[in-house]
Amino acid sequence: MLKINNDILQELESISPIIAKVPRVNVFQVPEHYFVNLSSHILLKINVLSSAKSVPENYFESLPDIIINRIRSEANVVSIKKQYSFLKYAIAAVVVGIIGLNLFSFFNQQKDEKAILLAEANRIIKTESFDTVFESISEDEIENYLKSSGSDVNAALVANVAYSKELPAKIDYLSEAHTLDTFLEELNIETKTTK
Amino acid sequence: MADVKDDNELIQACRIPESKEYAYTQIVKKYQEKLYWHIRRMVIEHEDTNDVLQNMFIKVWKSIENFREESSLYTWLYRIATNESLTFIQKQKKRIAISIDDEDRSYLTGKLKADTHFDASKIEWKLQLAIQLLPDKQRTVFNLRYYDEMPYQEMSRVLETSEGALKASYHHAVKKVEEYLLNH
Repeated sequence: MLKINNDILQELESISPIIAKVPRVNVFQVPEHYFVNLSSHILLKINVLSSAKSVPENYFESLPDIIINRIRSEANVVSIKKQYSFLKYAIAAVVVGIIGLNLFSFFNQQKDEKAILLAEANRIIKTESFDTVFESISEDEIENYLKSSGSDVNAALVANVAYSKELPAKIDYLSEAHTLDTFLEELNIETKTTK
Repeated sequence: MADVKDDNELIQACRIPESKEYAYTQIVKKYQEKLYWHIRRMVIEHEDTNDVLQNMFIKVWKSIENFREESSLYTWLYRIATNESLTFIQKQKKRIAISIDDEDRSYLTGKLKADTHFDASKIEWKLQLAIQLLPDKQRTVFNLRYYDEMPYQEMSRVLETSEGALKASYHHAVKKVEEYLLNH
């Protein structure tokens, strides 16, 4: 517990006896040895900055913002558009207005309900360019849909398909593999390989 | 309180190229903990505190040769640390689209509640929540007085505000914190 200066304590008691009685405890933790290494880290940073001779003014101050904005704009495009082959089923559901469709619940639906959804999704896929549909839906809408569909869907979609020819591993527990194959056959959609 | 004679010697040594790095390192080691905790109480998270603190000390490196010594080194360092903390908070709020004048302090209380050691049942954590709900400048006054035990005269140089205004601000801050503790 931190000791309190007598003058400070008296002032506090005069304003609020209640606050004056609260133990003055530091609730925050700091990593071990943090202060031991801090000065050398700072000097290292200074030396790096000093050797960056022809850098625009305020470049380093604004660099974190530049990087974050760039990551955000690229992530929205890359993570959504590169996982196109899996997303198109989700997009179909959005387009038919079935908001918050959950893939689990889809696979558990009654046969006739599933048939209706499949037919509608198939119609959209066959009669309209998916690119057109895709472009008409904002990335926020897609993201919100995916989030509302449950974390398992998000886990599957977020998996880095960009670096794998296969669907994310977590797709296995969204459904059994043969159920998904059947689904693909019913939609009669050629899967696209993601890069 | 800062040893002025030592600080003056350090400042002078910083003006000599051969001794600048050594003297600067002494300044960092002397004030790093005080400044760390001052910043930490403002920005909450260690990682953010580390960023602000390092940026602050880099500014000190760049400008110490031109330090006019109109205030003590201690005051000057605190002023830079406070300004860097407030600027950081404003940038963070802009980034997540919170109005700078917004009275909603959920951004900071959220960070507090995310601390792995957070325990809402403990009075010291409730106190922290109450403090984070204060407006940024009022919170600064509260922290400087309550935790750093800074005299109002010194505080007025750090915050460039009159002593009278600071006393009033501290009084209001304490009453708000008291009200929060009584109601939660």
